[in-house]
Amino acid sequence: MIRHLPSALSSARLAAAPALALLIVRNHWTAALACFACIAASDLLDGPLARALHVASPRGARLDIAADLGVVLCGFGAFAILSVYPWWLLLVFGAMFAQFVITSRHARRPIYDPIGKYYGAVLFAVLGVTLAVRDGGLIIALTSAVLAFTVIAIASRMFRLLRAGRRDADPALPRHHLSGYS
Amino acid sequence: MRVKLRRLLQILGVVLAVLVIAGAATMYATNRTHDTPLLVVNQSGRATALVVYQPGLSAFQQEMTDAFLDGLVDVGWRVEVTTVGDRAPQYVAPYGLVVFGGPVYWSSPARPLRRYIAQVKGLHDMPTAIVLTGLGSVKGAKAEAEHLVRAAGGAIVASLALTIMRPNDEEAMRAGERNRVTAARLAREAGRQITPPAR
Repeated sequence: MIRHLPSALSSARLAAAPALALLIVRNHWTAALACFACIAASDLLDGPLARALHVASPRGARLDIAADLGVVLCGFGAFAILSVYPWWLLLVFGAMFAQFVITSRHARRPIYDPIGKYYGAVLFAVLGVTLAVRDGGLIIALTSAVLAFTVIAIASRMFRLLRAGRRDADPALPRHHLSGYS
Repeated sequence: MRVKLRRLLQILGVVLAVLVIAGAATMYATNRTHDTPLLVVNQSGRATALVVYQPGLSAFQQEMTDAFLDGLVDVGWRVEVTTVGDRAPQYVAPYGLVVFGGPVYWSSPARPLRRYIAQVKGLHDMPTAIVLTGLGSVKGAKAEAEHLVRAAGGAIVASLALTIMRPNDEEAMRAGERNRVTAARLAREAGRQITPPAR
């Protein structure tokens, strides 16, 4: 039973995403913050718990990513309904997720991507700060920061992909630092 | 150890780049003025009101300014409307009412609006209204705008601070009215409260 706990946490996070959106749209800010705190806690816990229980699996990792994407899309979607964030930001996140999936599938070996690894965490932090602070100037700063981070994350991923491709083509090149895959 | 240090430097570099880009973009977006021509609404109105506003990055400020303007037109004002910029009138004494509008950034009215209020001439004893919009707490910004208008000699007849992320009217919200709809209703009602002088 306990071995299903990490997956249960991820599933609960995915299920809580629409509730978070509803709370935001209806201006229940204290409840939305509490809901977001639970979501963030579950995101922090599920990975380490899966590793501690030796139940980490690709399926669990996919569920974790899907839950994160659900929270990001529901949270920012709700803010877009309120005109806090622009709608096109959702397209940026969708495109970012799509490029992550495509480049992961087409790479012959897992790609070490230290910046892309933190992309989801940055979006979670932006959601949390938006819920807690609520200021127009801050929203502009956060939107710019997210866009800047997106460009850097894409550039980093492309660079890593090219380097991985060159290594595949030339086996003489070192691979010693290919640890901590995303 | 060297790999860890390199990784740390990479992260610091990314954080620094993001902070610099976000800071520059925010400075640009919050200080940018929008130069638009003076539009006239309700040509046959009894007296002329001037509405000068700073559009925000979302449509909220525009919607609330329009709602307030509709209220003024409802009670018979002829309204000249423009945005804070080079084409906004610098001398407002010929008008019967001046309305300043703008978004709240960092708990303060937008900087271009503050600059415009401080430099505009002919505001002495002029009936003046303020329409601010923000996300959360707007009380401080409202007080600051009122202080600026008084310092410029204006007589405040209406002062509104409407928000997206705080209830504008608790009762209306409990009754199921959307916060944005409430804000537009309040803006229009406030415009209707200011009647133009008889000819």
